[in-house]
Amino acid sequence: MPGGAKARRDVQPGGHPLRPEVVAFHQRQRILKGAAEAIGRRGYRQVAVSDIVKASAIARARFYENFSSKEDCFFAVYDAAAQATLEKVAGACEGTAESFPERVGAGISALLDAFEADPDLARACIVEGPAVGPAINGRFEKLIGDFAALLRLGRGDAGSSELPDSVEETVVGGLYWLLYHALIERRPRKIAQLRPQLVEFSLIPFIGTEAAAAAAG
Amino acid sequence: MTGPEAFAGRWDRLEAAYFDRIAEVTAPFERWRDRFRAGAQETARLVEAHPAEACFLAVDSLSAGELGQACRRRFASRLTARLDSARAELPDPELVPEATGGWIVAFFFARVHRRCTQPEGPDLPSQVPELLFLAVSAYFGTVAGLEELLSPP
Repeated sequence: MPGGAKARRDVQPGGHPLRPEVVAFHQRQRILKGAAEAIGRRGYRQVAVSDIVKASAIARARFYENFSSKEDCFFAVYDAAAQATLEKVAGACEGTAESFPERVGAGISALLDAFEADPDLARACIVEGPAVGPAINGRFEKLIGDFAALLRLGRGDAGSSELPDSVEETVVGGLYWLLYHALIERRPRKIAQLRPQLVEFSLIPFIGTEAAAAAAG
Repeated sequence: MTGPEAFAGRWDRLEAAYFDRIAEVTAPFERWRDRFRAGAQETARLVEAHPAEACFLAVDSLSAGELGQACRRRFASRLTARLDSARAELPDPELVPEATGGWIVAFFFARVHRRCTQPEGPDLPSQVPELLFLAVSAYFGTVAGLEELLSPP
């Protein structure tokens, strides 16, 4: 029977076949997870498509049905992680509408929680993203710009209008490279311990050192 | 010479030349703020004058695996130790967060990296007052930091 083996694989225990788009979605998710795991643990340059295929436990043909190359797959991982993390951080900030310092604290906690929940993904994006080369530059700039825009929402509350427009980008860039070095050391507890300092550094330009230290706890 | 040896050799030469130059331009100054300003301005000038070398240190090394990471970590540690000498001028140095030196290295690096990857953007010397504001604020408070931004010497 043509396609018999594939049809059997896609049948649920109850006997009802899964819709093809559901199967395709789950296959793609498995590949993204496998790619994040392989690249996060071994590095972008050291990982080949065959490693992603192995980590994903899928057939090589399935990989190429979803992605044209390792780079194409990695950009899908990167874009999905950046969007999901931005939404988590924005959600945490909005959920803590009390004051600008509290929103910044909640946002940084949400960011570090996301790192802790999936350290391979965090390492794949933060550490290995810049290792891709010039092709990542546009995405990297967008990432920094999106998080800077989130921080900029608090500028009115903080009364810091004399500051240059680029301060938020500089602060977010600093947070990025501070976390980059912490992730390289592969010490999750150290990253968690950085939280009060990250909050303080993020707030100092906008509300001053004493208020920032108090807000950081 | 093989790839890693060539990378390490070039890195070591550039790192040594950079720290020698920074020691030279900061030597005439006593106060941390004056030394930092001189070092930051010279770093910005070097990035503009030697873009290939700046990109090697700030961008190409990110693709150089563990060797690149080790070289950058050593470079950052040396910078952090120099920056943290600001604590000697503080009445209560323990009030300043432990990672402050690393924070200044991180946001300065962010600007250098961006200058290398987005060459059509603003030049680095024009961004130095903002970097001075952030660095001086982190150690000496925002009143001192704003002096660098609003009425530089």
